[in-house]
Amino acid sequence: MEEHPVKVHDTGEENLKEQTEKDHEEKEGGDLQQGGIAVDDRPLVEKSKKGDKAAFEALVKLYSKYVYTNAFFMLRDAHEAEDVSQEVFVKVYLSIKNFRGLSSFKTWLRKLTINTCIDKLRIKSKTMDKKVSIEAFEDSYEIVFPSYNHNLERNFLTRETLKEVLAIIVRMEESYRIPLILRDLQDYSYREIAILTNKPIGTVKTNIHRARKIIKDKLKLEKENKQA
Amino acid sequence: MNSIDKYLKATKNVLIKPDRGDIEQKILNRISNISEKDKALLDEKFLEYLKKSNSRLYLLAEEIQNRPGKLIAILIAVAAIAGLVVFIYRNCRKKSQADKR
Repeated sequence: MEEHPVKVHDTGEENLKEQTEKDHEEKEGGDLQQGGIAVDDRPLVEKSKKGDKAAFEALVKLYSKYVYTNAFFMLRDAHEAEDVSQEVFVKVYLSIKNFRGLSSFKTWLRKLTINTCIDKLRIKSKTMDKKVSIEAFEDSYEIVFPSYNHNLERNFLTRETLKEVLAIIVRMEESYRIPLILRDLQDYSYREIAILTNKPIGTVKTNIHRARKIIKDKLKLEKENKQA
Repeated sequence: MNSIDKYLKATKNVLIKPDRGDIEQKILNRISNISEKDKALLDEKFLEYLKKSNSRLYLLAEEIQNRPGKLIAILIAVAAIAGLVVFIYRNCRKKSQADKR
């Protein structure tokens, strides 16, 4: 399929470029930006491994919204996202002493969250009517931009477009949404997505391509509607 | 990179505000009252994930399988460096032999 880049809200482009460059600079070694200060989670992880409850609580404070956000995008359900967040932290609490730290704590937590969500989705697909969950979902969430994202904070248009992009993603069919989230928001490889979703790599690639096209088309349509 | 990719990249930093109260507190309450039922969460699947995430060999194999291009680039770089070392060594050897003559 031919790619037609859609130019959305020109004024936000420069700031967004700076923002994405900052993303590349984000350290993978377990640092999380909070309130403009880079927080190194490694001492907290080490203390938690030794049974320091205060250190574990600090980890919960640092990552609870991150885990919740990932779970919410995967499941589109506030109740379930909350359950998964709690479940993930219980698992981490009970097993952190066995975590060797070969990957960053954040990566470990993220993959654990995704695995837990995939399990939930498998159970859900067997037991629930998917249409019901989409209807129940309707805009029951509020997006927040972390305070260190000064460019996003300042730029209303970029922020609004990001909200639109997220709204399109969460309304997508599961077969498009999950591979897109795993690829573009979670940086999974096509191979990993194929394993997680039990689909051939070719299907995964096609679905991700279609999902991106849906976003492009809907943003283009939205822009045209605003201009009209 | 087109604009959609940029927006998708930027969405990684966005957080969702839980609409049903303080998620941190709920998690902290839950881990303060761990029951036997919670211990069942450490099922076979989770233990397998834990085992894999603690295995250097597994992580390396995954990295290679997920990014084969990276491995090829490393191999090409290693071969190029090795070739350069051999070339320099041979040149030095030739030079020293010529000096001896």
